[in-house]
Amino acid sequence: MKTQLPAAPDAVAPHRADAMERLFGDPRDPGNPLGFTQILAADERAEMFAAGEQALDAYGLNAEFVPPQYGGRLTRLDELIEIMRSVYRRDPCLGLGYGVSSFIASVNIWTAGNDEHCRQVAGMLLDNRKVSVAYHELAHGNDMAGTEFEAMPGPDGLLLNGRKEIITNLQRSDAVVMFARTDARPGPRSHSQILVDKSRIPDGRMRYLPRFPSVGMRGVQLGGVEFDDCPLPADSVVGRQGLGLETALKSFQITRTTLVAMFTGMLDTGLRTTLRHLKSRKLYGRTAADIPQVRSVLAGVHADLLLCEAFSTVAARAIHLVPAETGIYAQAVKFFVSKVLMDAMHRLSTLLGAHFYMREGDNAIFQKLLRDIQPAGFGHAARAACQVSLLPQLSLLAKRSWRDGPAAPADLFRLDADLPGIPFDRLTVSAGGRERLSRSLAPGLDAITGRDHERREIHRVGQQLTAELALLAEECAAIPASELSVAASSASYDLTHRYVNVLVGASCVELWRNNQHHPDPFFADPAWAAAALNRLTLRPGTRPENLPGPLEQRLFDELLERYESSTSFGLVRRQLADRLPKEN
Amino acid sequence: MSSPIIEKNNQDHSPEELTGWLKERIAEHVQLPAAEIDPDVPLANYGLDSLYALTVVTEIEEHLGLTLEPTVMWDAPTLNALVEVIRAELAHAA
Ligand SMILES: Cc1cc2nc3c(=O)[nH]c(=O)nc-3n(C[C@H](O)[C@H](O)[C@H](O)COP(=O)(O)OP(=O)(O)OC[C@H]3O[C@@H](n4cnc5c(N)ncnc54)[C@H](O)[C@@H]3O)c2cc1C
Repeated sequence: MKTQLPAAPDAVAPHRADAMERLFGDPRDPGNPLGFTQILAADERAEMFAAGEQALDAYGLNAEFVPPQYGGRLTRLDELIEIMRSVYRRDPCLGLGYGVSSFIASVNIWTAGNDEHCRQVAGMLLDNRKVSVAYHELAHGNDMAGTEFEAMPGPDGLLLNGRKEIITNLQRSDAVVMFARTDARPGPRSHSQILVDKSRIPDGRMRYLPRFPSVGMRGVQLGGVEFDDCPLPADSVVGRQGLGLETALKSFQITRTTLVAMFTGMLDTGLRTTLRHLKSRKLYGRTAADIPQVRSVLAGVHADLLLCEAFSTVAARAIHLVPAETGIYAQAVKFFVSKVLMDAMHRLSTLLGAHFYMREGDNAIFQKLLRDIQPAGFGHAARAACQVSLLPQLSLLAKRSWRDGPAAPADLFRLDADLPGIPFDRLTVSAGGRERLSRSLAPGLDAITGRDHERREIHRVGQQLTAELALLAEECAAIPASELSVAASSASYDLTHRYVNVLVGASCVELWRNNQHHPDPFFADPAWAAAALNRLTLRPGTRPENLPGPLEQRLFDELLERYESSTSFGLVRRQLADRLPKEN
Repeated sequence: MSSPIIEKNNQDHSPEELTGWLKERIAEHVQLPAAEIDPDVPLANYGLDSLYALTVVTEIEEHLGLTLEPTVMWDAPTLNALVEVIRAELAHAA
């Protein structure tokens, strides 16, 4: 291991994310070799940011992806997310191209690989090497069952044939976790993950395809590969042969939840950049940040950020605490958070006006982040595919979970409650229609005492959501089976939107209620929960509304205060390395 | 894992009755007449979605009051194979 950081994380602060912040320093300092100037220059050249990669080597980022029994520091997903936010808020190409593509690959291995596979992948990662993950084929998009790339078992092991395309780091990785057909018959037991250690590939049987240039994540090296009757030892199959779809469904619960949660770091920078610009911009005899409409948008986007972090925090804790239910939450997070983030970035771009369009100057990082955030919506599963994964559960959820039943355990929401290790062995392909988050909302609302403006707002939105859940329970109990798959009508897709709102609302209310004694007094303040709830779009296809006046003022004040103290805008307030520009 | 609402125990579930009931479930989902589903043809061939199959398993559990592996329909891809597994489970539970 090449890192000086402790193997066992300290349960309390200082957080390893703070170490990452200090390592990268003030991103806006033009003299910082790890700052935006250099990051943007690498992006213009469509290269990975080399100095950034060296810094991450020095930090030992890969160790954050490896469970402790294999020598790494992967014990808590909430910590991993927080560390990665510090990377994503600077350069998402580093986030994906240095980091999470290896993380996705390795989660497949921790979930289904044998001890030897785990050791092998851990060894590569702790040696600062890359492991790619290749599911995608251009011909099939999200349709994994259509996978044509094959690793057919025979008497002498496996024979690899076919192509994978648009794969991060394909050429520079030491190994690739490949999703392959291992049985010619159709059906869910015909695929497996194959751990392809490149050192075991005979000459002339594998060919790289030219790099795929992209609009965003431009530095990330997207490659392809073609195999031609390439032999590979049979022990390369990860888990039992034929379990590929099952392993994907399990391990993606971890990665769909955490990846998009990391992306909130981009919105933090987007918001910080926009605020900085508008505070210094004089228009009509005042600063642009004083224009009421501008403030409304900024306060609303701040609430959006809190909303995303609230839901993803609960979903990440759920993996540790209630893994049988996360088959549902993971789809919901990926579907929900991606949209809120992309829309919020778009709204900020309208405030920056022409300045969001410039590739040089103080705000140039914004156009990069606006491009880089788009894969939130389609990468590692399309949003619609996440909806489709929820559809078959709706009638069961209605029967088993929405009408009555227990609420989720309080530890799911209490941030001071310990998290057990990541239960790779207890993930399940299906939640069987059982979850407790949505049922937590009603008792949570009942337990609120006091009737100030913020609490009244929490009640108002909360009660709309509990009424929605009752309605959904009726509608979904009667839903025909033909509406429960990809062929469903768009009204059925809308059911998932309405349901996910309830999950998000419950997360906000319960996080606020269960953290009244959090060291950061902001947690106990009902304003954030009220503001976040206000941003939910109860009707699918509509835009979030501006916050009510007093909440808008509260959120805007908070935003300014955090900006001026260089602390993060999200739910967990952290000291950032940014230094403020000299006030003029 | 049994549901308090639809608890039916292992009363006389003939293979014919089970096959008929399962055919209805699948036919409704893939929008085909039940009679067209051949119990020896893999259900994936009729367009049975693998995620929906997980839901069907839960319905079977509720109908019969027993516990099955959620992926039982992935491992027993035809109706006949599935009915065989279910009958073995019922006998085991009896
Ligand atoms: C920067 C970047 C990095 C990448 N890295 C990797 C990598 O390392 N490994 C890898 O394997 N792949 C990688 N990919 C590939 C990426 O995962 C695929 O591009 C994507 O998942 C494939 O989807 P598609 O957009 O072609 O969608 P398609 O599946 O072709 O979708 C087309 C349309 O159909 C809709 N749709 C699709 N499925 C459903 C469904 N089930 N229900 C309803 N509607 C649906 C979609 O919403 C979309 O509107 C990367 C891509 C990019 C851009």
